[in-house]
Parts: sequence; structure tokens; C-alpha cells
Amino acid sequence: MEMIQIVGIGLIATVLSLVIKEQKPVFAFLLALFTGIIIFLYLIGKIAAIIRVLENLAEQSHINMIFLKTVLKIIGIAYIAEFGAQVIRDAGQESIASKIELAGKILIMVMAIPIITVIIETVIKLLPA
Amino acid sequence: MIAWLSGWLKEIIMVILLATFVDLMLPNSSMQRYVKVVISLFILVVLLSPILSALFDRSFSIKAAAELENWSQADAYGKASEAATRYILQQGEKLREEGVKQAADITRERLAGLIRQQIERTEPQRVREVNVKLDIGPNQSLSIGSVQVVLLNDGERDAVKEKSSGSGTGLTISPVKPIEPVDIKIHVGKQKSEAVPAAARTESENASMRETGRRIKRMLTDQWKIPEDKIQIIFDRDPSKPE
Repeated sequence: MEMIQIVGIGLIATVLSLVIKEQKPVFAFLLALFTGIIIFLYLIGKIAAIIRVLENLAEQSHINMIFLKTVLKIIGIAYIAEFGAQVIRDAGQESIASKIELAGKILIMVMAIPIITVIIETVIKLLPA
Repeated sequence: MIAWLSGWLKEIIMVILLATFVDLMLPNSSMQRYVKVVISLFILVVLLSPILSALFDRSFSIKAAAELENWSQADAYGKASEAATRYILQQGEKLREEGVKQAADITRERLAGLIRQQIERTEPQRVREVNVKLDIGPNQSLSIGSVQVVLLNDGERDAVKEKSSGSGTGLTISPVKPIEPVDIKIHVGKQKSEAVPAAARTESENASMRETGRRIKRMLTDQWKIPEDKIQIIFDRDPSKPE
């Protein structure tokens, strides 16, 4: 049922934006943006449930919570960057979209820096000076 | 050793599950490669942490986590060290609590053993078990919460010894089969009715049991300063004796 509702919203928004596009392209873009946001909000409850399950699993296996946090952050960054880039690409601004994707990639790599530093430091300590 | 190994395996399994999950969740895009690098680094850390810790650096995984915490909380100019310190302090706190728990366990066992020895020195009955509950106070101080003494009500130990001295091995203890314990909760001041067993006891036996209970309680309050209302004496019939 939910799936049908989401598809319904998407179809209605698409029809409306096709109608508006001839007259006011700006509003067509805004319509697409808000449709995306509404669908996302619709899914937030489900996402929260998934995250809760993962947290429980992590607690049971005594994994460090910071790892889980980082992984979830990575997923979040990837999705937000993707969403933003797609909306902007729809509006026909390819260059800005690619910049947003770049920002997403860099932020994900920043997450890896602490791990890389710890590994490298440890390996260097292992080697005889 | 086994516990540590299973913990490590659990961690690895969890991280790999997470990685798979992330792989599923990702929007199919150029992000994939970058995310995979980060996740594989995680897996590397989890795999390496026991080896590296064992070799030389005890705190490898903690350091990795602290570093992550740093980066996640640092702003552009990196007020990083605070977060790391906080994290390490939290770990220390956790360790200290575990230490207190272990100390409490050891204290409990010792105390039960001492009380048992004392009772066996002074009383004719055999002691089946002594259970001590400890309360941990607000500033990690231990205090005795309750003491439960279970006595075997089989008359004199010496008599039992004499009876079985023919076998030469002292007491022959048959396997304990579960029986209903006969609760005589002796509260000073108010007499509680006792659960009468299948084979009803005589009045004199009851009286002597009450007396024994009182004696044990007095001894415990004198020696250990345990309040009387926290002591519970239970008489149990000897399972090796026929009904």
C-alpha cells in the first residue's frame, strides 16, 4: 500500500511538472525537489527502524559503537549527495551536480582518515627504527 | 581465551554484515568505490586489532575508536584531543566498574566460606550451603545485603560419622535429588509458622532447630555485625536418609 502511495505521489508530481514546465521551469524544479523531500520524509520512520535493529546487533556483538556511527554517517552522506545531485541534474545544471558529488566523495574519504592514520602509525611502530 | 576469540569473531561477523548492508543501501553511483574503501579499512582494523594488541600496542582498537571519535567531533580547527581524552576516560570507568564487580564476587565467596566454617565449628548440623548477597554502595563500598544458611537437619554429625565409619571413607554422600526445602524462617519477635514436611517433625526437634537458628544468628550478628533481619536460616532434610 505504501509503495502504491509513493508511486502515486511521484506520478502526480511528474504530470504536474510536465504541465508547468512549458510556462515556468522554475516551479517545475521546485515541485520535483519537494516531491523528493516528501518521499524521503515518508521513509524516515522505516530508516529509523533499520538503524535501531543495527544498533541492537552492534550492542550484542560488543562492536565499538563509533564504527556503526561512522558507517551510518557514510550511508547518510552518500544518499544526501546523490539526492541533491539528481535534483540539480534534472534542472539541467550538470556542473553543479558533479561538484556536489565530489563533496560527498571527499567527506566519505575524510571518514577514512583516522583509520588510515591509526593503521599507518601502528605499522610504522612495528618496523624497527 | 575462548571467550576472547568468540568476541573477536562476533565483531568480525558484525562488521562484515554491516559492510554488506551498506553495499545494499548505497545508491548506485560513483560513490560505491569510495565507500568500499572505507568499509574495507574498518574490516582491516577489526581483523588486525587482536594481532596488533597482542604484539605490542595494547590499546590499538581503543586508539582507533578514539581517533574516529576525534574526527567526528572536531570542527574545522580540530578541538580533537578533548574528545579522545573523554573517550579514554569512559573506557577507564568501564574497566573500574568491572573490577569492583569481580572484587565483590571474590568477597562474597570468601565470606560464605568463613561463615560456613564458623557454623560447622560450633553447630552439630552439617551446612549444605551459605549464600551471601552483597550490595554495592554509591561510592563502590560493599555491604552485606543478606545471608542465607541452609542446614542439613540430620541430627549430630558425629553420629553420622560413627554410622558410616565402617566404610572408612567418612561420609557417603548420595547424589542430591531435589527435595522441597523446609522453610523455617525464624524472625525474632514474631514466630512464623513452618512448612510441615511429609514426615512431620516432633516438637522437640522443632524447638532444637529454633534454638540452633537463634544461636547462629546471634553468632553472625556478633562477629560480622549483620543485622538479624537479613539472616535467613533454612533446615533441609538429608537426602541420603530414607523418608
